[in-house]
Amino acid sequence: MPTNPGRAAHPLDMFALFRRWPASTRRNLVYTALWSSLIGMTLTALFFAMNPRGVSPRLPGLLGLTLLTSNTIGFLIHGALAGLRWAFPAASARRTWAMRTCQVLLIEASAVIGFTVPDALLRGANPFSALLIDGALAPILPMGLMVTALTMAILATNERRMKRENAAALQQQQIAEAGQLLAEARLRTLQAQIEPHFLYNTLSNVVSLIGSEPERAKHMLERLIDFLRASLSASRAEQATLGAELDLAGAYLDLLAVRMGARLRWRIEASDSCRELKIAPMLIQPLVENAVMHGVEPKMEGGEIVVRTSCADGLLRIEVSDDGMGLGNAPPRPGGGVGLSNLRERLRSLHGSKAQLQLLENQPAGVTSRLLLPLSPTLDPA
Amino acid sequence: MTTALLADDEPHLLAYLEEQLATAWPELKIVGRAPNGIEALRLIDELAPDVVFLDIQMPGLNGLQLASRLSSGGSAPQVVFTTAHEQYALQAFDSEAFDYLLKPIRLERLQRTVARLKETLVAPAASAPTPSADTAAQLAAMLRQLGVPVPNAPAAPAAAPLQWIRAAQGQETRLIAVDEVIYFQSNDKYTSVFTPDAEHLIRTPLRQLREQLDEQKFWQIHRGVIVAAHHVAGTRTDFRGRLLVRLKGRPEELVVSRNFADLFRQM
Repeated sequence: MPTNPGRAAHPLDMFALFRRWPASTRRNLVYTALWSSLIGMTLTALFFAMNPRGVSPRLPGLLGLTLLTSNTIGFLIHGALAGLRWAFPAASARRTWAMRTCQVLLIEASAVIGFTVPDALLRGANPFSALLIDGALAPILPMGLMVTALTMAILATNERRMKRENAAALQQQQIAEAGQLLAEARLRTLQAQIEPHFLYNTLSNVVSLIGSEPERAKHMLERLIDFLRASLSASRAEQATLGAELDLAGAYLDLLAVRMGARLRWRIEASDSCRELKIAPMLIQPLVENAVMHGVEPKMEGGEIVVRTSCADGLLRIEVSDDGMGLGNAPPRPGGGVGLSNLRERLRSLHGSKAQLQLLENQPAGVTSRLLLPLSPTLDPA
Repeated sequence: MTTALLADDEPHLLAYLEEQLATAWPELKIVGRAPNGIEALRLIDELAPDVVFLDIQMPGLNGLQLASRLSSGGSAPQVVFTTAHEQYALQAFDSEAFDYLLKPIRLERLQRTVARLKETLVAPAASAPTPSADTAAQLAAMLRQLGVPVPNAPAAPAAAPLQWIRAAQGQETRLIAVDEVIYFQSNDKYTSVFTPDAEHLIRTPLRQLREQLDEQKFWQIHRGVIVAAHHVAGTRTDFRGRLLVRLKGRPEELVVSRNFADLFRQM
């Protein structure tokens, strides 16, 4: 109710039909009126059924009194329990024995007041004296006890049901989270896979350079080791820094620039403030590989690849641009087509709809891949 | 004297091959070096070398495409492929070319190739496979099997299905992969392209798009709507008896007009 409107149960929640209306203060008030009136009408019907020929009070009068009594009791219990929850939110969540005792006393008191006060008011008597006159309470107390027992039983049933539902929901959520983590890890591993062609061609270049240009061969081997180390750790780690990811892209581009000679030019433009940002690994590398494989490599005169990053307004923006063949003209390559759909799937499981991958056509030629990632608190500068 | 042409887009590998050939075959005269397939084709036409060493992954024309053009000509050179490709590719064209060499090339392996080449060139009528029209057809078949587009294939399909859609967005031109599209909807003058997280407007009319799209993957369900089959989650009938399509990745439901309802009869 006031403290926890979303999860506050009502006796009517026992029935699945009434659970369709999501819990709220307004709903619970309506339900209390409904529930109390139902009990009042049932009791009137029972009274007539058990006492057909005895003293027969007139039906409207009896029904009116019962409804008034049951609603008074209902709303008093409603208010008392809500007040208790509002005053001691922590204790009511833990359901201690002290809390149970308070609930029993409050319900009993509500029942006693509900049975005596409306009746006394209708008769024109002073309600306080009706409560306090010796002997008047005696028949009321057992009736109050019945109301208390019924209400407490319903409360306990509802609490057990909610506990079960919470546990089931929690388990569902854990299963979904585990599945998502697994899918993310699988896709990340896929993207960290090193293409055999790349490895063989790079090693062939190293071999070809060892005799004639040993310094350059050494440089290539060192860069290859950087690249392999970063790729391998990326397939295991869940987080990397933007700087480390850009270094990986740099190692890759450097290797290709040696291999392709003058046909490939590249540069990375990133401000130092962005480099410390944490991002998921292997988000940039597929874009760089695409720029090489679909952009510059198939173009006879080669081209330039530029990686730009900026971070502002809660967004990390990474752009990989080339002036190569363009995606429309690039001949299909084995294994080249799945990169982007994998990347999109990963972005969805990592950031939902807050991350975007856009592809733009450059003038006069080539493609820009733009990655927009949210800068959430967990991604703040370390 | 035997002449040779070398083609590779990676300059160090080209230089290294030349170096190794100088050791393995000192009398071989290297008449040309090409950094791409087009240049190689031009030089082969011009210089008519006896042997060509072709890399497979090259811009312009790749090695396989280049070889298929050579074999359809008259006095074709012997083709030796140099490649880092996997085994399946090697097996496929093993019988078509004179030889293939795996990179990095080992000198002993190159020496064996050279010895065989020398024999073949001295006695061309020997058993070595000389490219002919027949082997060209075989090679073309292999190429298609490998997924390499064959330039002069006689029964090429009219046009490949659309792969990328260009949509103007402010100053930029967005590229949308056709696989990402959930559905197309025609507006007054434009066509809306819906992807999981955006809507783009393009000028191409829906009717024209339909002709460019793969019929198996994109279904027209209404005069103004084409939906991607793999994004269809299911159908339901509403209280008015209309058939609606539910989508994966978008909340809205699309109406199927009566003329197209047959598409879903078996679903």
